[in-house]
Amino acid sequence: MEYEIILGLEIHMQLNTQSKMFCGCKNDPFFSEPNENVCPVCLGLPGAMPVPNKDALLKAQRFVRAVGSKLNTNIIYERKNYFYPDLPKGFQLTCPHNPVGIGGEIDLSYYLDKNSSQKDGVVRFREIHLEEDTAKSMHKDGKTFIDFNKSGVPLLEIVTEPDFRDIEFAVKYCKELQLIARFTNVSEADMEKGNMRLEANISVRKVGETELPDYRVELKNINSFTFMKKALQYEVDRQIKALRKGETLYQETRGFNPETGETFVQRTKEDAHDYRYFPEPDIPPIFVDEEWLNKVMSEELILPSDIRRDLQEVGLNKDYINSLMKDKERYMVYKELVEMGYKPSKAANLVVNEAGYKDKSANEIDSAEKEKESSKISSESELEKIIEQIVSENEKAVNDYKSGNENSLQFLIGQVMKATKGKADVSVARKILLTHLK
Amino acid sequence: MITQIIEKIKRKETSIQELVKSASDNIEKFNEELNVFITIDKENALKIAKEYDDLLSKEDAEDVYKNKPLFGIPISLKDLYSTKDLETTAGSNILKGYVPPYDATVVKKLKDAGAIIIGKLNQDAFGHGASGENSDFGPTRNPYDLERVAGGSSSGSGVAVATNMSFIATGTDTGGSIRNPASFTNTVGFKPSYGLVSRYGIIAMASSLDTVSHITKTVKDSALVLQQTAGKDVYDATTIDDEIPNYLDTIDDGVKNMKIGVVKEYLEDENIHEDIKHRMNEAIEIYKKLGAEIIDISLPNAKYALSVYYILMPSEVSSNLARFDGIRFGHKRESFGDEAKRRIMIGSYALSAGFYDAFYLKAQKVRTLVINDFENVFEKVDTILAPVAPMLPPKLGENTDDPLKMYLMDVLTVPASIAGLPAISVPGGFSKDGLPIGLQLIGKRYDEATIFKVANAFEKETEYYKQEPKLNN
Repeated sequence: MEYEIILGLEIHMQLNTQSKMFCGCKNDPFFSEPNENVCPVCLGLPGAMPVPNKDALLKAQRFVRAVGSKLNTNIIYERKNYFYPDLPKGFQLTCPHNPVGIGGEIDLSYYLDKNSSQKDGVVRFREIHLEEDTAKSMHKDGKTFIDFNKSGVPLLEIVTEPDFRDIEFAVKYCKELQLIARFTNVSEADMEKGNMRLEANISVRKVGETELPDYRVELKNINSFTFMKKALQYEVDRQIKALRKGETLYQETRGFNPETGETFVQRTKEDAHDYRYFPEPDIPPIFVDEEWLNKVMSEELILPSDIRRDLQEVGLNKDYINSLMKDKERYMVYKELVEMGYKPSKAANLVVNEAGYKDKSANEIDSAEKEKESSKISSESELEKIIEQIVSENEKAVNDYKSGNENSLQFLIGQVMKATKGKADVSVARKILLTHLK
Repeated sequence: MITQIIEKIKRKETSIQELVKSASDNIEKFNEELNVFITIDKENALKIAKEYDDLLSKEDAEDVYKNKPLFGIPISLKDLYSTKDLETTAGSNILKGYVPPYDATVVKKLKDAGAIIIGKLNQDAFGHGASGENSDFGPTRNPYDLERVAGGSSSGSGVAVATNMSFIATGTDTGGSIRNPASFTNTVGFKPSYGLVSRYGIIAMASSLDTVSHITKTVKDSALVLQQTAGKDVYDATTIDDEIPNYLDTIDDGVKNMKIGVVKEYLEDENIHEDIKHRMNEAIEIYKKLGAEIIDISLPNAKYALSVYYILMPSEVSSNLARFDGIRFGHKRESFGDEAKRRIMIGSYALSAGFYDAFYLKAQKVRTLVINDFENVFEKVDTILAPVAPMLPPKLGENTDDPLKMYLMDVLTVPASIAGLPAISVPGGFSKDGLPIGLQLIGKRYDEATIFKVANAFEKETEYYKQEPKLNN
């Protein structure tokens, strides 16, 4: 019996705002000394109150628009109550029921593969909400240390419907969202720095069934695409095997152990949290009026899908396109080169293939190219002199060529190469020689 | 009072050091018996007083007071107010020894206005209570009868002012916590509209109900304090950005032709003490004499207000107290008192999946009905006159075994709280046995000016505030 994957994804992304979500502390959890960027609000001190960061809301809205979800006009913050040492208030502020974005979809048909079990390239969003990140705990010498730099960092959570049927395609989706975040300057979306974290809700059903399975396994905190593939594949195999044996699967939360490549139970349904959500009284409902909406809608966005289409239209191949779009900076260099008059293929070649140009700006590449050109010219005029001498010294070969012996040309080129110790460009040498053999 | 004191300072008839000395002398004499303060900061207060006197000897007093209207006035703060470098316990053992690294916005404003903080006041732990008996530092006693409570939860606040330990005592009013102690101590207790005064830095009890309040001897003093504390705060997203009127400009305008609503049911309610009803009737006659029109009104949903309050408040309490998880602040969760534990349990239950709709959500809907009641009434009247507490100050221990009876103390103060309205408790005279009785005026949202005006007219006529408790020593 064949089974198919039913997979929905939750992506967490730290926004790259100047300050944190509900206080003025610097948003820089990765490069700061522990507990450098803290205040009463993000430490959860008694009496402190949250004030929402408008820039974070604007970035979240930009992202909502960029991925094709719909902007919600009434955002309500709620308290998600649970105990954890990295959560100093005892609750997390989030807006899951009245979020920043609701519904909408993204079309990733571009990534569909004939052999894939994913037939539909459209992924629907359930909702996109903006919450606060927790602090970071570290365990050392039997003690636990808490760094609150990360506490209160704006965290976007993007939740899809269970529309994925293929693990590779799900990874493509994640990579596309990463690109969008980078191209719209919403997040660095660097998984190694913890800017981007993945969670998957996965179950399997028999092919042909239409109902969603009555269980799902939540895979938490996957911090690389490689682990994501491994964890999901392990989980799918495990579930299918269990079902084939006639076992019943239940709702549970599992983690992934990269050492063993296996998933393991973290929490069963019985000990699922009751988060006791209620509206945060300290933050009045946020009403997004028309003026605000217009501001968000009129922003100019550079979207990976548009770029991809443009690059396809100028005739670049898939490899070039994919490498150019790996990061926004590289693409912008390419774009500038094209604007300077470089042919797209030439510009792409320079940006993608020239190792020496890896960290260079368009202007730097351009002047390096121009220098190469002029040194080539100066070497051509030198070559000219050498060839003139060789032609006068090898009268016999010249005459042989003129009387139809093609091999003599090869001999003369060999002489040029000898004289230049192999440094001359063969095709240039050939060209110059021919002008002297007329 | 404060205005007169300031005039005296300006005329050099008294010094700021003398004021602080006098306040701290009273603390020394009576605090042991009354248990008003949790922390006394006398040394620092005297040090600042000296600096301020020195400043006044050099600079023009008028200029100083123009920028710092409370310059040199000794005040004390409820222990829910975060004070930088000064222990802040919230009246609970779980925060014993906690020294905040920051000042609450209102603390900063009062300091900037020149007020001198003389200490931190006793209170029911986290504001949970109406009698002061839930303080982990022992109950505060009523100076009018040492066997009786001083009201709560701002239990130290009323007594500090009544016994001249401070000219101003700050507090909080979530369901009556400033009006109740004021009514039990013959002082003026003022609760602003929700959103008028910043809550930033005030340890939260129930965030949708808490208001940052104060007790003074007179209504004018009360207005003077609000003038300093009111206004937009970037650290509190619920504060309004409106311009704050000058309350003293209209405070002496009198009540002629004003419409004062009286809730008929309250005058007939058998649960309200006879002496209190008697004082209510006296006040009605006084207002009539002063030219106001008394209008019978009805708040049909007010009877549900207490039920609403005891769902919403503990729900928010359960969440607000979650940060005292035993990891930080140095004490384990066992240090919570019984009342805090009770409210955490009630609140967690009310918010639980499956119960949320039946409790929290329903309570919010009824809250709207109560708000609508007030809106309807305020189309007909300028202010509402009502008793503050249904009973006289209870004896210590009288209600401690019966939380429900204790909760009933809030029955007349809670409606204004859940509607976010401003209210003031003014001395309304005394019972047959000489116990203070407070009367409250409730106003339209953000119409503090009117209740100050109406309260001031009554105070000028009666001058009950001049009566002080007789304490031996």
